[in-house]
Amino acid sequence: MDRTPMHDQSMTPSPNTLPATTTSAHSSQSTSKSMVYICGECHKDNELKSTDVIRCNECGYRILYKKRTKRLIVYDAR
Amino acid sequence: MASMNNIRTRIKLEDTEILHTTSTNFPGNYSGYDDRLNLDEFRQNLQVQITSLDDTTSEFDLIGIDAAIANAFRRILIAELPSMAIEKVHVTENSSVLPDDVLAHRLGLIPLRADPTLFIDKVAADTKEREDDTLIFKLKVACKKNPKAPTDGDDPKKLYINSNVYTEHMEWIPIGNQITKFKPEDIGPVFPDILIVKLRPGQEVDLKLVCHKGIGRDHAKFSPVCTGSYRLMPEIILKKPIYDEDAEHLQKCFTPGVIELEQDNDGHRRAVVSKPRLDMCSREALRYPAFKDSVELNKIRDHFIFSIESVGALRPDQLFIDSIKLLMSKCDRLLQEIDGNINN
Repeated sequence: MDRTPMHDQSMTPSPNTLPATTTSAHSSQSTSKSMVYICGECHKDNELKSTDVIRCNECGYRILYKKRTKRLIVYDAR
Repeated sequence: MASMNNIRTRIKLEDTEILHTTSTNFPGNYSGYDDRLNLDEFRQNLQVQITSLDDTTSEFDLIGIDAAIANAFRRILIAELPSMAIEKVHVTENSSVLPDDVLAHRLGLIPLRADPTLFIDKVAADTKEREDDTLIFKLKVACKKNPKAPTDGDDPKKLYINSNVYTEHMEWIPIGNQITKFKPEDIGPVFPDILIVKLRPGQEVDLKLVCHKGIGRDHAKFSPVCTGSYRLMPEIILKKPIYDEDAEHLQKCFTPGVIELEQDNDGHRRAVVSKPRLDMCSREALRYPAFKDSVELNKIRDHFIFSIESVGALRPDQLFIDSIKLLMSKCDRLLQEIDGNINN
């Protein structure tokens, strides 16, 4: 059984309003405020913060996609 | 009486209809016939002739049996004999063009080489993977560009590594005592070259395949046969001799090999029925007025030409024996029910 809580970390950027203690505790995850998106044009990974313009750093394309969830999904083979 | 016998034992093919299709030889239906069930007589009349048999396919004749029983065997073969199949797909990564659910469905249909008698049915509420009811495979394939690819040409197999995911990429993960119970060649997909999905560079599938035991009534993927079918033995009677051009014409009305031409003493070529078994019963001959009165087409009611194609886990002869055993156990259960009701 998948015990991962409903809240999927990989789907949401951690909010900037987090208490300073928690952010410092996760200092190694300083990038956790930002999210990685995939460019719809050049398929490059883009790390964007919530304040950033939605635009590919590589090619300037304005359509970005979220990455697939890292959670396990179970399907019936039917 | 001869026509009565025909109704009892033959299905008659007319040009526009098929007559006497149902069995009518139940006790008391015909005066002058003893149709009571008689085990000794049944044993004497029953014949099984194996025409061909190999690892996957078999054709055999079952003579002297009622359609109800032959059909019971067919239905048991298709829907009630167990086999193993992929039942759950745990998707960690799937960036291929196939959506997860479509990919899972495709995987479910892959025939697996695993003896279902060595496994037990999964208890519905039990989600734990147990060594006696579950098989686990891992399928983790990523596609990359081939650095050594020739610059010309556009064959994806040469340009990319792992552009096609085949069943040979499935890796068996033994759980518990399975590693000692089974040899690696006992467990796996039946064929190594079934295409599951195509990938392009950057795409990846990372799956865990969980296989359970099941029967075809639940889902067709569990059916141990590709086809389990029977047809009735055709009977072709030439009521009048047919010669020369007419004979050649008659020969063309049937499947090749059914009618042969025979040189008779007067120097004529006469049509004779050689192998009625090959006939696919097109009834073409009955379309011509010249043949309508000289040809009679029948099917023998109690002569079944059975054909079994196994998907590969078990041999077809083993499957048929299993189907007989299953029908016997059903009969036993019925008898027990009857006895129980009498005692009450």
